[in-house]
Amino acid sequence: MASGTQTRPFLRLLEASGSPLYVIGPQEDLVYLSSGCADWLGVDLELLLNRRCVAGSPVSDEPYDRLAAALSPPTGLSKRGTASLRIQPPAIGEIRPEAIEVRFTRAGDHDKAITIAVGGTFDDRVIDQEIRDAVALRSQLDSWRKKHSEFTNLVTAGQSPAVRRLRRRLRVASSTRIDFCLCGPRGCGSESIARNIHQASSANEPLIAVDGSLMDPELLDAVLSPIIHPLTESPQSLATALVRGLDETPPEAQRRLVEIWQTFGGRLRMIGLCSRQPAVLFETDNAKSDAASSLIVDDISPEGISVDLWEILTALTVTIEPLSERVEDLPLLAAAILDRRRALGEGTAERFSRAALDAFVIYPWPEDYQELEEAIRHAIRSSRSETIGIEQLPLAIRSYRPGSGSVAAKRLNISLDDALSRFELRMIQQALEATNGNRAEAARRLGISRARLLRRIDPPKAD
Amino acid sequence: MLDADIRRWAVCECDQRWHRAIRRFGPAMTPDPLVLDVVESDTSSIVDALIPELPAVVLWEVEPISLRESAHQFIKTNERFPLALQLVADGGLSVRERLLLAEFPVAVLLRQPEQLPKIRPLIEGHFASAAQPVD
Repeated sequence: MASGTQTRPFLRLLEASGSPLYVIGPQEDLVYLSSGCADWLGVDLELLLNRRCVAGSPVSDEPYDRLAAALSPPTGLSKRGTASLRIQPPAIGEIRPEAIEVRFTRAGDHDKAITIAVGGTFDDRVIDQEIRDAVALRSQLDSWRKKHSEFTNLVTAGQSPAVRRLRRRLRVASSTRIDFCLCGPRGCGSESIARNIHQASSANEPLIAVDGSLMDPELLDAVLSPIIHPLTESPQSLATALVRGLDETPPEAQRRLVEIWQTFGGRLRMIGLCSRQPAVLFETDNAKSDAASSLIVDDISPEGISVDLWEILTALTVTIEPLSERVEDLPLLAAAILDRRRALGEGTAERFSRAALDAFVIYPWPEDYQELEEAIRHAIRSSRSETIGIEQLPLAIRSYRPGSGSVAAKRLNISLDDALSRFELRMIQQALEATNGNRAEAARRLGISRARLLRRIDPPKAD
Repeated sequence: MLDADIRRWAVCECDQRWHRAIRRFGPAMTPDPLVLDVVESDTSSIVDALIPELPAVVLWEVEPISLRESAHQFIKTNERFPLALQLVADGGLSVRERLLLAEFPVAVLLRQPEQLPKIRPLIEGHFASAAQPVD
């Protein structure tokens, strides 16, 4: 292979120009950064070398990993060969780099391709609508990561009212040491959110996680003993118990949990995790006297929370809404999961086709976040190109068609008896109004017996 | 149930994209006891799809090439069916073309199906505007 000219003169000129230029190697990690990057980013460039620089998704929450990920090119670069993106690097400590336009150019083919990125002013026009949408999603994700760096869980990404409410509540939970309940569907990562909140609000406090559904009072005492001993011995000690499946915890274990919490007052913080907003089971005075079974459950339900326990947690309840309530956020969540998977080295796909996103939007997601994650992993495994199409989605999602909603089908759901009953009651009310409440006169005007009228307006109570 | 309880949502598009999305999200926007009837239509059959006395929704998918014809349809539909709320699904319109739509009786411009749940209060209120109680 013929060799090129010496690189030293070029590098000397490049350094003299002061222009930020960096190179992303075939393994998608940073292999070179010019001195202009040091001026722009304000960090020691050696700390950025060899870090992953893929699709905006950091490998970890480490600040330099996040900075390296922020320097990554937009989606679709491998197809177009060149692209521009306005990059706003995240702040590291007190250093807040300014946002600049960066032009990416891909050189080489396949597994030997490198990407050269130069900061400057460019005027690129993205023509493909799908790529434009993918770039817009990527910008939204970058913006979310920048504005809400304290929430690393993807569930908190989005713009819907539900997720804005969620972020506000998480912020409150993180800012103070308080007992709280976190309700969220399967796969939403509620435990990692709870642990992040614990880190933010009381970083040095010991935390013990308890599987509520497996507990009885004795086992609960044994599991909590590592934090109970310090709490007993020192009045200054603090600790946190994180109870998974709080609504599936047996009533006796719930009662024991309340007793332990009451013993230590505010020094033992309780964080409860539930799969959904739990039913509260009521406790009566009579039942309290019966040590064997203190919970009275009207409808025998295996899941729920005693009212005493609920009182402890009710100060703050954070609910993670199901995906069906966050349709608006679905494309962003899907893009975020794809980014993360790609950053972990799974597959080559970097965006979804619009048809695939449409299928995500109309699918009702009965298994929620877990199903979304699994569907995207399936699609990544099936995809051989940079775009995931509808054909790469699981069969259940790509073949889903919403109910017909036909008028004929709905007509059958209307009860004739109910409609007639409501009509009859309305007639009786009008007759009573017209007769100033005289029931006998109203019955006479309606042509029915007084007894029948009385039965309709005051039906006998069921036993 | 009376025919007066039926609320029709006509969809004029080339594909089935918006039709599917409306079948998914439309029922939640239709207050009881009203019943949603989603029909596929086109510019020629819109007259058969709507009833002048009843509130309805028409969603037009508009592409740059069909903007002029669509503009005529907005006006004609508004004259003939004053209770029809007209929505536009953006099929790649430029900013200038989107601004032009403000001159016509178009209530909402949608870009993607995931935006449909956001207009729920508008549709719900429109459908309920002439609803009669069952009893």
